[in-house]
Amino acid sequence: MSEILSVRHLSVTYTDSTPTIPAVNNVSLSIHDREIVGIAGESGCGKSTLINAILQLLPDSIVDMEGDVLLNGQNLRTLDRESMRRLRWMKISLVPQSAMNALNPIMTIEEQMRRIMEAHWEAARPGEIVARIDETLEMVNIQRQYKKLYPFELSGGMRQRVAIALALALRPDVVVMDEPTTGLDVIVQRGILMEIKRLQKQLGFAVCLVSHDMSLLIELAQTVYVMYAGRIIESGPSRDIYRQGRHPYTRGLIACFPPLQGSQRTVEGIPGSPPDLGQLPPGCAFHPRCPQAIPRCTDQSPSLVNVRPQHAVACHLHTPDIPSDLVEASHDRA
Amino acid sequence: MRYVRRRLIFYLIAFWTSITLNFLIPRLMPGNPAENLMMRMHGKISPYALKALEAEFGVFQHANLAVQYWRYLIALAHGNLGVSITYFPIRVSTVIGQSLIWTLGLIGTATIISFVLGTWLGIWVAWHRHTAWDRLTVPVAMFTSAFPYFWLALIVLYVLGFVLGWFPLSGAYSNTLPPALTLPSIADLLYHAALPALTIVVVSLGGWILSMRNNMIPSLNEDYIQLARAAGLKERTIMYQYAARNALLPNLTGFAMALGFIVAGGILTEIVFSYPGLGFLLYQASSNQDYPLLQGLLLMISFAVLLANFAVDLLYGRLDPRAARSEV
Amino acid sequence: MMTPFTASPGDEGEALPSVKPRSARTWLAFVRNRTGLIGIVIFVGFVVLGLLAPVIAPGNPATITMHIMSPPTAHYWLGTTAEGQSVWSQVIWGTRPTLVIGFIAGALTTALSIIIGVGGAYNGGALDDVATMFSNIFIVIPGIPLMIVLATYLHHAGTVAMILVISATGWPFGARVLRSQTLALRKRDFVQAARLTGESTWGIVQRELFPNMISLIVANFLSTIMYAIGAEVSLQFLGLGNINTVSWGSMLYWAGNYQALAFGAWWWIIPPGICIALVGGALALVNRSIDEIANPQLTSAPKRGRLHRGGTGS
Repeated sequence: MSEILSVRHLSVTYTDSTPTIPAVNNVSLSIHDREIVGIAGESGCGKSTLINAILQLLPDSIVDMEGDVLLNGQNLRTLDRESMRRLRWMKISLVPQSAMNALNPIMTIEEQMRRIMEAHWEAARPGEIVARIDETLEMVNIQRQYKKLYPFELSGGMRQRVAIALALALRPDVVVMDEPTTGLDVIVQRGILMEIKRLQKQLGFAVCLVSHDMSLLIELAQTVYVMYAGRIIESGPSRDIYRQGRHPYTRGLIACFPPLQGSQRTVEGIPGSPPDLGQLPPGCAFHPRCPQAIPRCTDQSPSLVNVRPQHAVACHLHTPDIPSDLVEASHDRA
Repeated sequence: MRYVRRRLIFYLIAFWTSITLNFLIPRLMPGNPAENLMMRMHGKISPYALKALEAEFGVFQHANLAVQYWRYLIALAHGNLGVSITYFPIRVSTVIGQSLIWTLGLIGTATIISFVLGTWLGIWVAWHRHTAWDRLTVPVAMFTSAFPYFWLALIVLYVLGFVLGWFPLSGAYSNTLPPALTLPSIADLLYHAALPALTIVVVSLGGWILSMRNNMIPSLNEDYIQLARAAGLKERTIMYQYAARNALLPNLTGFAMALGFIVAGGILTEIVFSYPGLGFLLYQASSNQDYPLLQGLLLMISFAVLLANFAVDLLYGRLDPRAARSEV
Repeated sequence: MMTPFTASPGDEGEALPSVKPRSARTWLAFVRNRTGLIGIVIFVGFVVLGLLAPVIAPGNPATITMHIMSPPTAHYWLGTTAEGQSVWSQVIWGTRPTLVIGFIAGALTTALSIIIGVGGAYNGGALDDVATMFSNIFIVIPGIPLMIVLATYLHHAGTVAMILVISATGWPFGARVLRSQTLALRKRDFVQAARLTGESTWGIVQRELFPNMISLIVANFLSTIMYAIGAEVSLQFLGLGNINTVSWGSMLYWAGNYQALAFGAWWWIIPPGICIALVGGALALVNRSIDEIANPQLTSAPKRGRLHRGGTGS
């Protein structure tokens, strides 16, 4: 498996407000060929900014960016506008958060797909485009005749399928999915997730799946990154995160959702709400909500440290110089 | 089709309301203006014409209001708007018919130019909203749309017509060149229409720019615009096909309101330029207290505005697929 | 306005954003907003000009002198009219009737809009249907021609008649806007809660609706003043108002009557028109700043869109 998308030490700061808002802070992640990578976190943790930064959608006038985004080894940050435009959707595409608003309300499904394809397949014959539209819609289980409809004539689930079809129309290498099932009922969610999994196997693209729903990520993704207040606070194979998540926040997230399959468990929440990115608390940003905070947490920011190969966590409880009995005790409580 | 039918019914009701208003106004005014008019006209016009006036305004008739209203509607159905006093004994319908074409040509064309130009400028400044152009356009547009039409007409007439002598001072065509479908005549017509049209366009332009800009800016933040960007569509496509096409819809809805003001401004502009349209006629009718002509004009202007609005609604129905199913 | 509610952990700690009035903050924002401040300064300037007319331009502005059609001189700053009256003095004194009619007609029109728009929407049902129907119809029936006809019947409408005519044709615009706002507010939780606790209709309107509509009502009032001034000046220009009082409109009427421009007397025509445009522009600026405060993305300053937002994330 080769690395297809690599984000290296990416930081994004919004400069259009005072104080400036550091929305993404030194984030590194990598996605391999045909891999599903999950990014977990609550609203306001910087997930959306991260997505937009990866896709180079943030205008220079409002953000300060550091670090690199490499797609197939090519640094997207150094590309000029036109090269970036050409690369979009051919190599990397997006399934946006709310398919309800992501489709142009006054264009038919077919026209929206056609316009995107025409922007990239400049030499294509109309027949090829039509054939591809039909083929892609069929892949997401939308009957051919529905392409003449407008978004408002479709159900929420169908709109979401259309959004997926749009993202797959040009068969990109990586598809970024931002909360792809938000606002849909559980049955429809389930169907769409299964379809994403099937399509991913069939077409062989890599997925960067962003969600607040930990159980969904653990089920679908091979690797999970947990974000809090603009930083990655834990990352590792999803199995490890699920069974041996170390960070109190990670465990809180897992406890929030019952697994899609399997036995019922009591659902716990994390008290409090995520901090304002413009006014982060000192030390570990999670300490005001953390049930196991120790004095160090209030003034020292923990860095991401490997606890096992491929499993890293940023938490003072898991840094080597903490007495091991305290760590054990905290594990028992969870 | 259901949308078209609903709109049609609405405009029929609106037209019926304006007909009824037209019937009621002279009958509800204090001091019985129509009766005064009769007194004034006694001996000056034929007894037959006097009878016609009486019937029209219900003066000296002892029929009740309902019967009068019925007769009024019947007369209207026959296109009978009475006889003009200013142009006695020419029928009001004939007098209006001669002026209508000028107003349609002038105000109609100027409105379309202003709408298209203003909408396009609104799209453009919204797209470039972080630039100096936007910061300049907004206050200038606000200021120019606050000009009274007739005042700008006076200034334009003075500077471009009187001082510089580039354009004719009044009328719609040269006396030596009666309107015809020949090249010199058409050039002459355009030459005469230039200043009044310029006035209407300059004053009404700002409103279209501002409203299109204000519709465009929220539309630029819509998720589908962000998706179109992420999808690598060309900027022009995003600007016109995605953002502007959606932002145009509320602007068309605002057309109904704006049109009334533009027509009013156009009427005053016609008066300043002595342009022989409905507005100038309205002024004459008002000055001469020519009530039949006044009433006929009010009806005609209302009808024209309603018709234009209906046309815009039909356009809206074609541009917005949701309209066909809307409950409005 | 809100993104679809998603059940994410920690949500229980967040309250819905308050829509209760925040007058202190709003006013502060208003003063900080340069657009609004410029508008207010110009508008207040004209009000002061009108109030101080006897001080700034003492004497009767209608006084006839021998210096007819004089261009601006050291004595007659803005020249004189065909009857030798000082244009400067007329412009200053003309502020009074122009603004007074604008204010009163604006207030009356806004009151009608509130009664019909808010009343209809709040009560709902057939009453609302009729009110909406009438508003929609009167929006498409052109107002100025109707005014000209009414004023002709009234033979040179006096101040009262003019105000009535303006209000009778101007109410539907505000009514429509206020109606939709009322409908939106009616559905909000705090209004529903007040209804459930058995608060009286008037109590709800007074305590819950008006405080949340005040900016809209003010904006509507200002645009109605603009409309009223425009209508008033037009009627006077056509000689359909009271042409014997000194106002900006009647100045232009007499200037037209004496063919001021044919004599090259631009100083007679330009000042009243500029004043009208300045007052109208100032009101538009204030309205715009109200809009900008309520809807910050309309400003020219760079702002980011929904997908971008860092602070509120997904």
